[in-house]
Amino acid sequence: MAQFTLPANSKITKGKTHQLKEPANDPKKLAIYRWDPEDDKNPRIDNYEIDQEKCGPMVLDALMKIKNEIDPTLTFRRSCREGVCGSCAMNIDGVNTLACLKSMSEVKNEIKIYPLPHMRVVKDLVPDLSKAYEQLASIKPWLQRKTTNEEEKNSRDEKKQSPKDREKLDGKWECVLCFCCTTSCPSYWWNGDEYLGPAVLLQAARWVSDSRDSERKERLKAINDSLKLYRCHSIMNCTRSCPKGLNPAKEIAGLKKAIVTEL
Amino acid sequence: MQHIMQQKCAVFRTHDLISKGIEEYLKVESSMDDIDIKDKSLIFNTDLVEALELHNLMAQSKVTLHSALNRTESRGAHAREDYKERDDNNWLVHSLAWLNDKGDVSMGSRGVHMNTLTNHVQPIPPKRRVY
Repeated sequence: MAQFTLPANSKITKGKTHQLKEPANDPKKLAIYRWDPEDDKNPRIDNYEIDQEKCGPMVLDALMKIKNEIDPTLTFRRSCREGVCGSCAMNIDGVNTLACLKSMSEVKNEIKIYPLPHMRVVKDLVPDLSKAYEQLASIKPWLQRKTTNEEEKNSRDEKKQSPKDREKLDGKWECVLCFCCTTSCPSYWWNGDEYLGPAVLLQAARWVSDSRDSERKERLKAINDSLKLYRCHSIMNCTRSCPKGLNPAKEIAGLKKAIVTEL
Repeated sequence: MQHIMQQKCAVFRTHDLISKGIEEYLKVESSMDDIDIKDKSLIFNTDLVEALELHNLMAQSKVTLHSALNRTESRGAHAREDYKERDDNNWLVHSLAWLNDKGDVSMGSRGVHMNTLTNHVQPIPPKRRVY
């Protein structure tokens, strides 16, 4: 019989418990994934307890409180604390989301926090996103405008867009590239090396839909690939997890439709 | 440091308030010697990064406090309640501040470039903001 061994570091052990020193009116427990790349120990789950009366309402507030007051070694990315930077993406209570947009009151009992799933972990809650960024760069996420019109070539005027054309970008430009959707996609878990994933495909749709961009056809051709695009099987985890309420699955369907009708 | 800067050196400020801010700042500054970094790791050490950021912000706060105290007029987001008017005669200058190794601040100023680099556009002379 074939025997399988788990990959290194996949077994999670029990970690330290930091209990509240004083009795609290509104205590909350957090169980947080910890992994230090510099020792050869397996990952562990550390338990923390905080008083919600002395803390902001969001999960990120709790993480910062823990880092400031209980355990400064806890490592996570954060920046804007209001859902516009996409840094604090993590798996909270089983769903990928932004810690700054997730209210602690939404989670009953203990709050379980893990890094984004199926990514290499750099440390604690920090995943390695370099592959995802590489994939983003591959779709050329910038405005391309090739023109043979001499007048436009020499002109320094802005390239205008009608309000109606601008509306076509709604539901696409709001993406903050937190990769909550990409890392929630089972298809990306299996084929993450080739499949671009919902976040990057949403960006592809954003540039394909831009009226000022001249390379719509080229962009569609570039993603028309059984692995890059068609590994999307409308599982819809992306839409379910998006902390900004966007619908990447719908935009991917739009890309597939455009390829069928336009190429 | 954050609390001092938000409460004693906000947009609306006075000589007394800023002076009090400097006084409190010095207490915080002396506590910087006791700083300790618990996270000794060399990979993604946010504890260390935050300590370095604090170190930088401490210097920035000090020169900000002294520049605010030094500029006895109101201009833009520097609203001195004790000098409510803009004073172009004395203060149409950039504030310069030097912070030496001992932590002493000395103030200076540099004139503002009043001309454009080319003749393409004519410079617009400064005038009172009345809106």
